[in-house]
Amino acid sequence: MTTKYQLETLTCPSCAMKIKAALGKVAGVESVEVLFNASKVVVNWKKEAETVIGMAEQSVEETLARIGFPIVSKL
Amino acid sequence: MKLDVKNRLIIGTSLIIAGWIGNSIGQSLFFHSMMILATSLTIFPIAKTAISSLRYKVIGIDTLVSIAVIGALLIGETWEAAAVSYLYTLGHYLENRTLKKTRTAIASLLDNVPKQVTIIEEGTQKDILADQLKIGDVLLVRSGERIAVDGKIIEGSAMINESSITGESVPLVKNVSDSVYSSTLVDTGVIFVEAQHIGEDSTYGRIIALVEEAQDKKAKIQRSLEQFAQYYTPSVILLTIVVYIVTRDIRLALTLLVISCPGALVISAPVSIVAGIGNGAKNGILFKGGDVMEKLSEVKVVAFDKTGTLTSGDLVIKQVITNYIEKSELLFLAASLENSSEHPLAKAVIRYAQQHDISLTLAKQVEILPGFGLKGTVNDHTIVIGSPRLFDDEQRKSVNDKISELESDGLTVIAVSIDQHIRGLFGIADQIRPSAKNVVNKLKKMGILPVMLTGDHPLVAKAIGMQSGIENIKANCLPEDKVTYLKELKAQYGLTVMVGDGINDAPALANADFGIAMGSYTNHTAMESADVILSSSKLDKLPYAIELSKATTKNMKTNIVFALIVALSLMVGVLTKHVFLSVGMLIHELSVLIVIINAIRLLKFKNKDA
Repeated sequence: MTTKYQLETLTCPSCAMKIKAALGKVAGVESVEVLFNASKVVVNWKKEAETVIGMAEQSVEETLARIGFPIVSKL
Repeated sequence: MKLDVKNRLIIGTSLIIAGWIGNSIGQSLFFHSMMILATSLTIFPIAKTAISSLRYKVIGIDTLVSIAVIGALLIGETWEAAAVSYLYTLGHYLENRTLKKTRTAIASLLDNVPKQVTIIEEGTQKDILADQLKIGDVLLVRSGERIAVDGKIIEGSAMINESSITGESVPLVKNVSDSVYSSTLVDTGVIFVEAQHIGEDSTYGRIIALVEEAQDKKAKIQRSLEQFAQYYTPSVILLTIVVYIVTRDIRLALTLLVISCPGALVISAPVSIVAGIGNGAKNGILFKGGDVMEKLSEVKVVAFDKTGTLTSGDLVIKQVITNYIEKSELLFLAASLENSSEHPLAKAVIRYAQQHDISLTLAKQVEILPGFGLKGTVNDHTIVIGSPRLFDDEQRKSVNDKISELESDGLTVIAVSIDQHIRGLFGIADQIRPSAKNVVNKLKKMGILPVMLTGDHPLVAKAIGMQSGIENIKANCLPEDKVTYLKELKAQYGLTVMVGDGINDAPALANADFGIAMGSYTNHTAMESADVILSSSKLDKLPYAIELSKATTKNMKTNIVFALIVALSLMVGVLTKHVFLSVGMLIHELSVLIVIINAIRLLKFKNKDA
């Protein structure tokens, strides 16, 4: 299962590394893909996160906001 | 006043100028205060994200810049601190704006999809957001409006400009029960459309989804760069620590931190790719990724399918030969059977029958034979239509001479058998595309070898070859022969591209190094399997696609070389103490901007003689 987020325009590719590292540490996240040109983040969830997906998504959204990449919309 | 980036920059600029004025009249305390103020103002948002990133044990450029700025303040270098922090903020602000520009071409694709639509609900009109549409909804579309869905006209008629999908801007007349596509423009008329495919499921939705995906498919060169960048930053940080321990030179150490993120390098490839793919999309060429453009720029052989690619695929019957049967009877039986097929050959037969005022009946037990043959029962006669190869020698004996005669005229021959006897032959001609010769010429000029692969008879292939200027012809190809021959071409000449219409040659398209599908935005299978899709039947987009790929790849390489040189010079400059904090930051930010601006040039790339 995956969740896709549209972020504000990403401007530095080092942001991509930062987002990847930060989200990788959030509970329930299996892997993270940052689409730099599209300014999107794709989060792949671990199986066990799927039952509490609302909570897991919320912590990802909070993390993104905190490291300076507010979400424009969930896709 | 809101303290957004822009305002921070405006105030920061004034503070710095005021500081320098104060300094020139000997007010050094005022100078330092102004610089500290400007620093705090600009560093605050940077430090804030740096600190929150640290909570996730992530070190980004913001962390490094914050450390450098605070360090500079601590050693009393207030001007350096202000300059680094100010330049970083200004650089990012400008990068943000210019980066958006590289993405405009792709973003503008979305403008072809209406955000708001009018639907008919219980007999009344209602305006809703396009997101809220459901399959089965009835949309009212007036002149000047774009259609939001793929669907069928259930009432009304209109002239519709389908250029967003087919590249062809001559409007088409569409009536009740005709299909219409999302993003196409109603030129004149009013229609009611029943929604069949909406959102990402519509043809245009797929195009957008593919482009969106493509812009982040990395070129090969990019992957190695990213790996390099991943090690570069930690290595420079390590170097900073070592340098500090050995030399105790805090200024040198802080400067190293500032240049430790190779911004221009990491951004060099993606900006070129997004601009290149955007330019393509605007011109009806869909590249499936940066890797695809990289490959296409090195193409050595272009192998064309004949029917529907070099030729328009609009087949016309030029000759009919009967074998002990009335012509009208032959046409009646053949066209009645073909009436159940969508193949271009079938359409040619039906059109010919209609032109001869023959009314058709319904065929029964219709089955499709390999090689586009068709078998079925019409008025209790068993009819088989297809290539003469479908029939055994015994059946063919009586018409063999006639077949050769038609073939030597460059016609494709279709035989019709009625109750096990070949009773008729159709000699069918295909029209070469007007642009074919020009395209082949351009390819030759680029040093690319054009080749034709076709399942057709050698004489037919030769005729088209003569008209288009292709000397290398492989005729009588079965689909698997095409695949084998493509491999041979690759071994002999190098990278080989197959160009087809995606209907007759799906295996070849999928098996070539590289497949280009033509005119197939509405053909979803071709869209999946090809690497490049040319909208419409504009064969002349092919040289453009190759030239754009070359330009994009070159742009990307220039960017990378430039970024590498900057990173290296910065490192040398810092270590030899020619570059200090503010200058280091200035060069770093400038190099990022130059890389972006270089990529923007790709948006303006045009074919010189198109």
